[in-house]
Amino acid sequence: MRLLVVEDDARAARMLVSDMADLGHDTVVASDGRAALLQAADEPFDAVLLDVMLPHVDGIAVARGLRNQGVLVPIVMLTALGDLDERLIGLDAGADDYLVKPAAPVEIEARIKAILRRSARSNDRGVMRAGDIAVNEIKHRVVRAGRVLSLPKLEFQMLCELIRNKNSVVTRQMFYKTVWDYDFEPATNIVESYIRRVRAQLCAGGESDPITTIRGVGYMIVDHG
Amino acid sequence: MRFRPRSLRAIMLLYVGVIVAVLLAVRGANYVIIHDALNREVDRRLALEAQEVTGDARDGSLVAMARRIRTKARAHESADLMFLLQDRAGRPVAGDLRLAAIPPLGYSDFGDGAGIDGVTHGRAFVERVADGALLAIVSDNDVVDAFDARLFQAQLVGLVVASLLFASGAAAIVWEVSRRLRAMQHTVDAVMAGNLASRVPVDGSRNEFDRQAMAFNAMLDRIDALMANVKHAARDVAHELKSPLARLRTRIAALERHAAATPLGDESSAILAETDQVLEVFASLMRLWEIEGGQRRSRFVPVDLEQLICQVGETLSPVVEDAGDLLFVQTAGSMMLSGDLHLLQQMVVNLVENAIRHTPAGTRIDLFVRHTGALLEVGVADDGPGIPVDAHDTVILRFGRLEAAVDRPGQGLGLTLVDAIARLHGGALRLEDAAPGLRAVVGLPGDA
Repeated sequence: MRLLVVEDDARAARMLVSDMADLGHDTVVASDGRAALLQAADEPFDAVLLDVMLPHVDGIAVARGLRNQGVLVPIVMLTALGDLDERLIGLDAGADDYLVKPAAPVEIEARIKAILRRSARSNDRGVMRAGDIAVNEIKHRVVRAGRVLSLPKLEFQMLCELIRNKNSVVTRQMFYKTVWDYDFEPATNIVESYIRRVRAQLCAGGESDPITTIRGVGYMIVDHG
Repeated sequence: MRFRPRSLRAIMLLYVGVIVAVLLAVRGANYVIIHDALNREVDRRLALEAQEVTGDARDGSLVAMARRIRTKARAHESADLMFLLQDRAGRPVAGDLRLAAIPPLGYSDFGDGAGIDGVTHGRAFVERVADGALLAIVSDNDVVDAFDARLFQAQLVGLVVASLLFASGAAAIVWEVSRRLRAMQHTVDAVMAGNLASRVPVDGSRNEFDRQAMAFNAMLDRIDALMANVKHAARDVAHELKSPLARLRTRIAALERHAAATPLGDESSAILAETDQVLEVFASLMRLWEIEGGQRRSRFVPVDLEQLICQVGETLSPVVEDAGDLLFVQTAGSMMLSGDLHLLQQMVVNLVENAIRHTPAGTRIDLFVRHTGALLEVGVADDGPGIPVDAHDTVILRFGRLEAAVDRPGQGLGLTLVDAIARLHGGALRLEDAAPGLRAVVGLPGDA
């Protein structure tokens, strides 16, 4: 992916560029809001990583400016402080997601991919597949290798998130947000407990475990097909 | 025990009571003095009449006195008087006054018992005259009585009017003072609840209340400014520390990936975990500041606590099961309150997590919501080892952890966050001895 990183702190920008490069992404850095608006209008980017506190024009104004210019690129806001007002103002201004620093590079990548998938996905929320797993979200039905699984509601939603974001990491934060609508991270291992149950169901017929654990980050289903 | 009224209302009631008592005493004294003066006037007239009957030069013959009495009986100006002249043997000599018993010598009052025809009560004057004869003159007191009655009515009306004036004046003072105090109390309550922008209304009259309100508001402005300074300083510190920590975390995570299969693998994993804990503390502190700031109150919506409790119970039941504990959820029908859904979720999750983390496997955990009077109570009870009662306040404090819990994971902010969320919603967290175990209860004002 080609990313525009808008960050006034040179060290932070360097780290982000390096992290994104490690994950195989090209990055262009804009050190203030004005430069970001010009660059985003001139060049095509797959996503914008936007710091909120910027000189001249702040991140909120940049997001609003980009949307007003008709630039529909996914925007992920990054800030060291993240109270609800800030998050909501950012989202209202046109940002697609919001991450509080420090955000792990894989978390940033996962969020961007999730936004891209969301926008690429058509409105029909029909059958999704990953390998030998097929999930019908509308009918609340999961089939693995011809075997119908009986998953409770929350476990089913977790599996849907994994398959919807197949080949990408779904972070714990993403699970809390999409499955439980929590804007905080509980102290106990809720996600781990549920993943264990999803795995038990998926592998009850002796099949291999399709869920990969990305330590300290989240989980992923890889679809080789 | 000395009685000292404390409330404004009691002080004003006492004040009005004292004023009415004084008025009553003054008007009573007036009445007695005037009544007495009238009696003295009557006595003076009786003495004058007696003197005219007995004659200036003590022409004391009974015949002369009888003649004068007869003359007076015919005179118009003596129509309200009755005379009796008795000789030494007690036989009536002149006058139409008939008495069942002769009143004592000198001045006296008489009533029905005197048995005087046509006169119910009045004033009598009796004196010995020449030759042991007795002269009695009585005066009908109807005029004095009528005056007395008028005087009493006037005094009563005056007393009632004055009392009403004082009472309504006192009530007006109480109402006005109470109104201003209530306005100040509302502001204090709002400030206590976290709304530091609340101010006492000022009407611009610059009276005592206004001046006090302005002084109070100026104090709040100062506190607000100081709090903002502290908050900004804290935020600046957090910001300055968090960004380097973020970079540090990223570097350590990269190091940990590279060192995975080397002898430094375990150590770098441990460093990463420690860094994550520091960042968790930062995240919790940020959350706490956000809650204590009170801004989220503007986003309150109707929340069904019963539904929320059931959802949290469902969410956490696998975690409870994995910990080897038992979770029971008890509700009592739909319970609405105005609140921040996400914060209330966090509050209940934190309460249950606190019970899971600080009890051994096999603990029974009860998550409940109930009505208690006007309050909705959300709580978690466990039958674990509990907390000594004298440490209950400590564990609610920021970073307040028990010695025994120091080696367990956690930041010492879980119950602090619960309490902060409860306070944002106008409630509070309290801990109770569940004997055995701990009961953490949050009382919240429900929607009527």
